Amino acid sequence: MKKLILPLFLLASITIASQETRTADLFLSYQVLQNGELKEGNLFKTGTQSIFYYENKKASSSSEKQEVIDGETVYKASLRSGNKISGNVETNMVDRSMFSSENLYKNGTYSQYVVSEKMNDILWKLSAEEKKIGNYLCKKATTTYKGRNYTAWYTLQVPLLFGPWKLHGLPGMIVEAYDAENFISFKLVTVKIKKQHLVYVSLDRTSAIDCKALFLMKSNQANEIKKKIQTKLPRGASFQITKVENNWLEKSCN
Amino acid sequence: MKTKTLFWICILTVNLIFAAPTNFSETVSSSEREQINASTVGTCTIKVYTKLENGTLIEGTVTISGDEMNFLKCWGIKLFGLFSSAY
Repeated sequence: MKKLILPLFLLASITIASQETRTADLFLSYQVLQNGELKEGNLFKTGTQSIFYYENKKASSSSEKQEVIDGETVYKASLRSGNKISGNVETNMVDRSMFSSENLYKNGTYSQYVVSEKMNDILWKLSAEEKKIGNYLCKKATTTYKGRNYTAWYTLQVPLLFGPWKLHGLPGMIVEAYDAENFISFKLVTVKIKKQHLVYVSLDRTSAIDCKALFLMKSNQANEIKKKIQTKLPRGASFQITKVENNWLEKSCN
Repeated sequence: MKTKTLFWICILTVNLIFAAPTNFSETVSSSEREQINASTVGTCTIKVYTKLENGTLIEGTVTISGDEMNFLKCWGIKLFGLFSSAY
């Protein structure tokens, strides 16, 4: 029995240590529509740092379907990691660091990869155009970031350099933002200014990779799928990739 | 029925059972009958669409051919559990 106590104590310590309680002085919730999928994005400001992540209250699981369409047998699979928290972005204004997470399909399963980048100031073009969104008087700003052209409506009523996802560097809180192709849109839903405790599991930065390495791995996902399918096929069967569509939010590293 | 006939029926049944791949289930539905006409005997094709969490969409074709792929098997093949770890 005594032999069991020490390992249990160590295990409990590790579990507690991986979770941090932080005090957030601002909490924003965004309704995010990305590639036809609606999700909730949460942004917490904790002093000079910010944490953003997507919260899937009901984590969706993988699905598969086979049907005959116009006499042709079609098999469709949607592979999900099943994680309730995803798309984390941790930014720090002091050391200008930005760590984010992405789930990639490799070796037959999803694994989380942490990407290390710098908070390079996004070159926003500030416009004099104004409009009112809800109770906020907003100003328009445009930029090109990671291969997409973005428009953001921000308000000076809440000074804030952080924004949803990796958007940052505007002088006020982003109330609405979207890209020119309507691939993604962020709409502010909730603002909580009072201090609150946030229990958060920080990203493991020890094995962080850079953006270029992530792109290489993302590009290799089709081969990973091919490998996986081929292992499941019987003798005499083969699988050939005919088309790959990379509907990624980030088209480039800058 | 003669013993010889029974013997060959048994052999044929056993062959059909054991030739089936483990992760494939073979069922018959009327909507799939059209595929019999479209299929070339000896080869079956199934279009495979796989969507990943980060938006990557992979399209491909599974081609099943060979001596074991006969007319009967072609129209009943279903790809199930292709990505499950149960197999």
